[in-house]
Amino acid sequence: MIELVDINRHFKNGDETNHILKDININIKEGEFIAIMGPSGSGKSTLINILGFIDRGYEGDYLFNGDNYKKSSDNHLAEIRNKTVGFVFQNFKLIQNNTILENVSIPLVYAGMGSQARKERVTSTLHDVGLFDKENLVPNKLSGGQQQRVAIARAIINQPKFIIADEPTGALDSKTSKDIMELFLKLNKEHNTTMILVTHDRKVADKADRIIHILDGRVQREEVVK
Amino acid sequence: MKNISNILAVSFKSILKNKRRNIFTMIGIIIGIAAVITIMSLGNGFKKTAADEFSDSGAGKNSAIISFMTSSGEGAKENPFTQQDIDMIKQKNGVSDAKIKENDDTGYSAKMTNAQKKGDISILKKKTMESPEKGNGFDADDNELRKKVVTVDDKIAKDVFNKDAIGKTLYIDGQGFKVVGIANDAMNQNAVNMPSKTFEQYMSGLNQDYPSLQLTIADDADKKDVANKVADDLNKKGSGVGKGQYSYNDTEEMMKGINKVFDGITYFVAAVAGISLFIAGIGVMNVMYISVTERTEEIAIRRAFGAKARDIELQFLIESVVLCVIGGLIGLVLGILIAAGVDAVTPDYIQSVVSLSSVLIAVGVSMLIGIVFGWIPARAAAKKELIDIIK
Repeated sequence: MIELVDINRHFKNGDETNHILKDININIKEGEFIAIMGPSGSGKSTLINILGFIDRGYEGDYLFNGDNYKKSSDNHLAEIRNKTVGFVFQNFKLIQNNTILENVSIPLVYAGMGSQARKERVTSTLHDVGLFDKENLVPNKLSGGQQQRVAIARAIINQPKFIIADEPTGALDSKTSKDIMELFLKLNKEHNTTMILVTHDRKVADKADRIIHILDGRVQREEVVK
Repeated sequence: MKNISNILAVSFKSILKNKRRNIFTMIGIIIGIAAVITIMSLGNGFKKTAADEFSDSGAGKNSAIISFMTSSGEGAKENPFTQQDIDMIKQKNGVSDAKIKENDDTGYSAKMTNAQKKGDISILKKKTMESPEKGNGFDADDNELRKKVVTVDDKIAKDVFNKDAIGKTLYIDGQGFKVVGIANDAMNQNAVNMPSKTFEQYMSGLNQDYPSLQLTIADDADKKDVANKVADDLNKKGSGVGKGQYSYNDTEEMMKGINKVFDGITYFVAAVAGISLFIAGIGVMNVMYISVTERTEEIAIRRAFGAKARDIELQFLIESVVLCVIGGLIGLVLGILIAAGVDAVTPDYIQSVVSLSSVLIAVGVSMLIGIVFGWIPARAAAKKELIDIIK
């Protein structure tokens, strides 16, 4: 489904040019659960920005189901992001002024769904991630684990082809981390949703099918978890 | 466009989130719009008064008014327009008719002949006087029956009846009238209101204090010319020569002049309000910039989940328009209230008329400010590259 061929990424910083990603070649099949591991500054975030259609300034080819979106317009990429990818962030990134209902609705709003249909869909998706009767609360009334569940509901609500989770358990305690990982595994098994999970935590990475180790902008090794 | 109601809801919510900041921002718009609406309402009201006055005074196209002022400025004791004068005027070229004009607002001078005090009074003809300040007044039946009743003003009540006037008798030129109420008149001192039919029955010999003559001018004659000639003639041969001056008042010209002054004031206030609105617009722009900066993360989240640049632009633009239109509506209400307040505390001829155009201007101008000054920050929000703000 995802094919990265000789991806390089440079960032200009004043007169200097930093070479962040070097000759990345990765293949990800549909339904896989991938963990990306590596120390800070190794280029993990840059990589997932490219995977998530956020960054187009790379060299090389990123083929998604055989299509290359490098030349697509900003508007078209917004549409692609809306339909294909769901993001889960370390710090949840929920809009604090908006209720849970509104937060989870965001992908549906930009997909052009009517408000009544949105409401039903949000309620059922929140049930899927184990949240009940929280629709009208604002995010800071919920615990960290619950907020991350809301973020996951937002990521999966538009039934994306894959989910990118950037250290989703980084801000959570170990018990909650375990629950969230189980939720990811459940989504992966039951809905066959492709998962790309960035983590520092070996215990978290061990739940994945395959671990990609990144060091200094290169793929150091790939490891299939037994 | 499908989610415009959703964007509207988000706008309202984010405006309510920062109530204090947004109210301060709105003040400029409120003041500007309120000033424009106030002056427009009063201007319209004045024009309406002027127009009413025109048709009322008969100063239409073919008629002109000749008035007589005594040298002392007091009311004329004798009629300066005798039948002889009128016959003479009717002979003149360009005059097709002439008659004494009666004015409801001007009193007829008469002598009060009570034993306690004698003096001049001014009688006003009224069909009814239903709710005087004190007493019962008189109604249409009293008028039909030509009852000898009057109302007096505070001054007469005090001078003649020692404040206890109701039920007493007021003698006018030797005839007794029962006082049935106390009512003041802003235009006349020592005002006495009397049913008009009673007046015609008992007081028909009286003249108005400031009499005037209404000329009807022939179609082919120049109104101003003819009227001035008539005034000149009267000053030479009229029966009031020596006691005062006849003159032609071109009320139409005067009204036009006043209208011009009013238009001038309106433009001046509009210019001042325009500056206020411009500064308010800059304030709106400032606040929108702050809002965009504060909500960079929200923009990043929305864009990551599929919002296009123009969705973001529209969201902030609508927010600024909503902010301004709320200000505009508050300003509209405030302006109407101020105009109504001015109407209430000033004499009758200053009145407030709210027209549809006032409402359209308030909403239109504030919307325009929202669009013009909200557009730049909204563009800035939409132009942010997702990769730079998703941290």
